[in-house]
Amino acid sequence: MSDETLSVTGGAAGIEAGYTDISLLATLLDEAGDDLRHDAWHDKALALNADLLESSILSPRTFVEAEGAVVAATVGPKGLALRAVGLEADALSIQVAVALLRGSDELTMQAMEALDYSLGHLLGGALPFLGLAGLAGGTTLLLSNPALAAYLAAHPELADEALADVQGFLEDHPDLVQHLLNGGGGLMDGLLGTLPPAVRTALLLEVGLAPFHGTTNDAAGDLAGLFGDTDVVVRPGEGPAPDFDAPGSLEDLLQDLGETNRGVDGRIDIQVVGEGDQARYIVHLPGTDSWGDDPGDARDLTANLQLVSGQDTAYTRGITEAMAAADIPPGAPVMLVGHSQGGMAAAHLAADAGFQSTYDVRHVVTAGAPTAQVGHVASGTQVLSLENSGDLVPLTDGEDNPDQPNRTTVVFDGRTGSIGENHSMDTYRAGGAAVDASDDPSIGHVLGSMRDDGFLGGNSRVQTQSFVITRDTP
Amino acid sequence: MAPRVELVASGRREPDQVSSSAPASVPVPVVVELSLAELLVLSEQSGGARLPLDLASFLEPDSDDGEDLLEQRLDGATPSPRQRARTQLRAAVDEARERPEPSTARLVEAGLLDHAGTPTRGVVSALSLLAAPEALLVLDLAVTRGRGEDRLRSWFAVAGSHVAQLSTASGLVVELSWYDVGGLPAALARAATVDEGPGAKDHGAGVGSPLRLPFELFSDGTEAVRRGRPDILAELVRLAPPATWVAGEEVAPERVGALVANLEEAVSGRLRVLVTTPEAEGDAGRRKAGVVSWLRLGGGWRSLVPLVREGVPLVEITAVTPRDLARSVGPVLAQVL
Repeated sequence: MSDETLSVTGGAAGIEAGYTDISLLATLLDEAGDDLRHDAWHDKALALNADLLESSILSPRTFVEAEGAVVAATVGPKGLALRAVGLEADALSIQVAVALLRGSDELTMQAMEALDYSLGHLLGGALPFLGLAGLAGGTTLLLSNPALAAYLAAHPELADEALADVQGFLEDHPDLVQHLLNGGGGLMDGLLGTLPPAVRTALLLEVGLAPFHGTTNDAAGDLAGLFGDTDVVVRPGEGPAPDFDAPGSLEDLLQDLGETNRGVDGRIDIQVVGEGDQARYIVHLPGTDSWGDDPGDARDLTANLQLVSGQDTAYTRGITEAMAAADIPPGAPVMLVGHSQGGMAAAHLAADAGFQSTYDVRHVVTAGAPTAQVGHVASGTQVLSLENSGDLVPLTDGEDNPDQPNRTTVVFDGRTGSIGENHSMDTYRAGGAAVDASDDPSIGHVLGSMRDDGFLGGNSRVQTQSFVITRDTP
Repeated sequence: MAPRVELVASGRREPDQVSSSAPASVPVPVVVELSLAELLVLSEQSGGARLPLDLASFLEPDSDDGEDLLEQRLDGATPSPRQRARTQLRAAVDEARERPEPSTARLVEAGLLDHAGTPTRGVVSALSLLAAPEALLVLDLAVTRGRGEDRLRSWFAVAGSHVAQLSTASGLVVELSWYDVGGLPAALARAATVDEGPGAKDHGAGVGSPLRLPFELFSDGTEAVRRGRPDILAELVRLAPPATWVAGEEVAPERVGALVANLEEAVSGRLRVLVTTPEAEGDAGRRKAGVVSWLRLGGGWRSLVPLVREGVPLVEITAVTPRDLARSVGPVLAQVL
């Protein structure tokens, strides 16, 4: 095949060639700036030479004017020197921009590699998944763990018991289970060994790890691809609105949320329970697996991958727009019910002073949502967070959620065999049923206040409006 | 104290059967340190389970060991770091392939292989999980502590409510662990914990928190500091939008340059967590991956959050502790899964 039959456009090599050209251009700009700055001072020195200085005796006024003009043209506020710095700043910005693009591409490639690696799961995996178990009888192994060894050294009375039955011993001492993971200092320091850093770096490259350095410009390269927040468009949902009944229980609420979740991407439902002054508004906020209308980035390397930082506020802004479009009156009593990202959005809105000043946010229910990162929630709002202990998303560890009396976390065990099921609305609806059945006083207080506030257990008339939130990309 | 209620179930698996009758049984975490040779033996004994470490290029028949040795002879007696690395790796691979008996004996002693050389169920499951996770978290960390840059790589493979973690700082020694997903926040915190030694101080405390500044000052301004060009930094500050805040207070323009310089001079490391799952789709059907990025200032961590306010890309830099890593990863998981 002759070269004439081949036509190659784009690709990593093409992009890299472009980067090199841009870098070269920036270097030229930088050098030009450098020369200009040098010339500015040099010209000033030349211009203010001995002849000119001597002329000051003959014509002091003209000399002052000439001197001022020279200074202004060279090192003054609009002179060559400043323009030179401007050029060099431009050059630096271009060079940094190229470095950021390279960093962003590198991050994309790392993410694609990780994605491709985990594709093994979809292909059936290399080996059957048998279910993990601790090593009953693995006494030697466990004692070789520095965290456990340190713990037992500090508690010698436990050593004999530990040696007799490690599994039972650990089940009886749950604090030690955490200690095994927490203890022994940092992970890295225990693995460094005695090799010099340069050899370790070379070893990591040899086993297939891409370079990773702890500098600001590398961090900036990570962030450069993450500014993806967009404007949103909110429109009424198409087709008939869902036929929700007034919820009688937490399970009912979560069942309704599941119904919203089954709708089109970006759909939220606003349910009005009761009429007139007695109206209560329940906003159903599902997770946002895939929503919006982003045409994607034209650059080849990133066109098939969207990098996210968990900080997208577009959904939250869409929710407030939808609530305004639903004509919820200012100061109206509101309950937000959200799953996953919807729960995060609900908690963020509850912690937002502006939102709280618009509506009377009485209750927030989150299911499978990380809420520990959300700051102070006004004391007039009760937050009930449901977390499946087997769900990866809330990353439950028993201590993370903020210490506020109006934020109640309920952890239930709804483990299934998959991440998706553990995080699913069906699992959380079942968790809601377990919460309804509980006689725990904290739960009783929260559910009681939902009933007292008219959100649960009434037989009022119900109306529901649907809205669809989409991204408004340029 | 915030109310927290644990409704525990009887270990049943169906969601409809969630109840509050008896304590749930979760696996006891297992944490074990292995040499690369021992890991390779375990992998081999588990049916050749794929590992995230990629030795393929090193093991290629046309590998340039010979070239390295020639280079070493020509250079003199001191091997380069790469040559030393390849020698160490070659020894580990040879030990696993040619002389596996000592590794096997240690693995039997540790309870990872039975006396017939068969891996225990937990080991097979952990390696299976590492080979084919439902979700994969890849943590990279680099810190500078005087003599050079230290680095850690951890893979957290998750399926169902199980996690298998493989970590290394050199490729020659690894830590393999497996535990319930409830242990993941503590494991992330442990991975982010860096020993600064006795008497170490958080010199980054000189940079107030939270610090919010235009992204171009974070990227370009710090580069000007690295190049020793305060004049360019001043020009960049002059051009940047007035959007620099510390602890909720706007910073006067004349103080912004010093702030950027302080920030850059305090940097001592970085941490990144990549979150992927093969089934995650983002907008327009594109595949989706999450990123958490932290910066180390002196002896303490700062989270980096990209924001856009009134069209201006900003970075919010907030003091955090290792325990906060799960709080940073959680929202990303919610967006990716």
